[in-house]
Amino acid sequence: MQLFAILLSGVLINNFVFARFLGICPFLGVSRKLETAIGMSMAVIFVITMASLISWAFYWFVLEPLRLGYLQTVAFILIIASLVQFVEVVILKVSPVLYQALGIYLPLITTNCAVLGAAILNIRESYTFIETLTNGLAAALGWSLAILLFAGIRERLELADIPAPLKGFPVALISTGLMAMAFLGFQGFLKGVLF
Amino acid sequence: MEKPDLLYSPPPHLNSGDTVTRAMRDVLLALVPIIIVSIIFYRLNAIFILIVCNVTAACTAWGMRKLMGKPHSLEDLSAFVTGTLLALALPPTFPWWLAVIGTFLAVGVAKEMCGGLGWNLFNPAVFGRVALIILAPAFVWLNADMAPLHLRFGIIDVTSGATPLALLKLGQGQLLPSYSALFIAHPGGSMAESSVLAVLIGGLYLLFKGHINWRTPVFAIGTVFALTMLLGSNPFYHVLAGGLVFGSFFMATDWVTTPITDAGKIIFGIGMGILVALIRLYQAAPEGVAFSILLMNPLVPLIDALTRPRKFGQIVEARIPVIRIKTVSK
Repeated sequence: MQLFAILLSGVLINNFVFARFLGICPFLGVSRKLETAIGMSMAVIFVITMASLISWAFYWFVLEPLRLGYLQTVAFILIIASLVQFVEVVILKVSPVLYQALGIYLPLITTNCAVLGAAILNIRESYTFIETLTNGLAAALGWSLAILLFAGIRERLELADIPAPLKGFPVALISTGLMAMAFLGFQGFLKGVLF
Repeated sequence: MEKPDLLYSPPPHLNSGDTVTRAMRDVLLALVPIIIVSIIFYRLNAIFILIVCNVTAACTAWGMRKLMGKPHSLEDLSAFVTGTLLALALPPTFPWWLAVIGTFLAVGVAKEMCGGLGWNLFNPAVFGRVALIILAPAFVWLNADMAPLHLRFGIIDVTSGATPLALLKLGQGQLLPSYSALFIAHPGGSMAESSVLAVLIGGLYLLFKGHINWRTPVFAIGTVFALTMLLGSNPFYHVLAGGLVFGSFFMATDWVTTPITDAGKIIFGIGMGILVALIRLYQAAPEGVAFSILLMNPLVPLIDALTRPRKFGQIVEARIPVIRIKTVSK
């Protein structure tokens, strides 16, 4: 039940894009086409889940015993950066087409706040290993859900008769805000039954 | 406004006479029974809120289009449809300054800023209603400042108490009105919730005129009925009380923000019904129709993409592996 609550919270209620406003840069950058959005989602699901697990292990087995908790941010950034480099090499080898499609945005996840945010939230909530796995996966799935929904909307926004000053990113941000307001409808579920 | 050249079949062509203005006028006509019921129950209060919302909607639409350098489009009546729908989704004694803000957000932000009529991602009236619910804490100071300006037109002959859905939530089932009272006319809640019968008359008129499709409302209401029954609540009250019938006939059948395909309409209705049932049963809030519609709206492009019908003559790849006979060319 606890795990289900974490999953639901991560995907719908505390959605990384709509409730925590993390990972907006790739969210806006790669959502123009559904295919690239799906590719990016895969990369993010892999990176956030792996980063959560590795940073969790590193914190509890290295930093905490050595009383180096204050190095958390620096250490996590290093771990995540090397992890993303690894993913990049793998994708380049496995699927050059996907690598082309993702372009600049894959290395961009390196310094992305969503990945670091997930890693730090796991520590702050002092989750166990399984809970960390669930939370990382939920955060990534929530982010993917957001970008998949938004990719569909984005294709429509490109065609709409929007005045020049609002065209492109401004109207994308406005629509994101409107979607965030809709997602507030899930907010009550946590207080209601799950906890 | 330049008219796109949309004819793509060989002549001769017959003009059906259908225009946006005409469709919008039919929606307004369909709302007349609900408006009459509201006026009978709430007298001048109902008329006042309707006027406030419609005037704000018209001014916002005109002003926003002026700012964006587009020709005004008041003659298509869409601003008045949004204004009237939003007014009917509000309680009759709703503060008029909040009604103004809600209508402005509905027409200005949700509609005109996203490209105007035909391009909005969210149903403007539903967005305005939800924005007023969400932003309520932000308006506390405003309400305190504006309270002396609150207008009340006569005493309403209605006992102000918990709505049927709230009673159901509190477990005070003995206080609930009868089914027939709820169906024909029972004051309380927002104006459109007063009479299911009036909403049905309007909805059937739109169905008869061919403006809306039966699939979304039927599947939305059916899903709520089935789910609330399965989860151990009283399904009749969940259908008759609250804004479900109004929402599914007038908001979930919006031409712009709901799926185009028939299968998509069914998916939309079922999804909305599931959300309504879950919000009503598992959240602190007694009602969730507006949130459900708003949550389904961003799914529409994906639903449409997934339920795209097969083109005439298009061969769908067979799921079952077909054994191909190799022909050897001689």
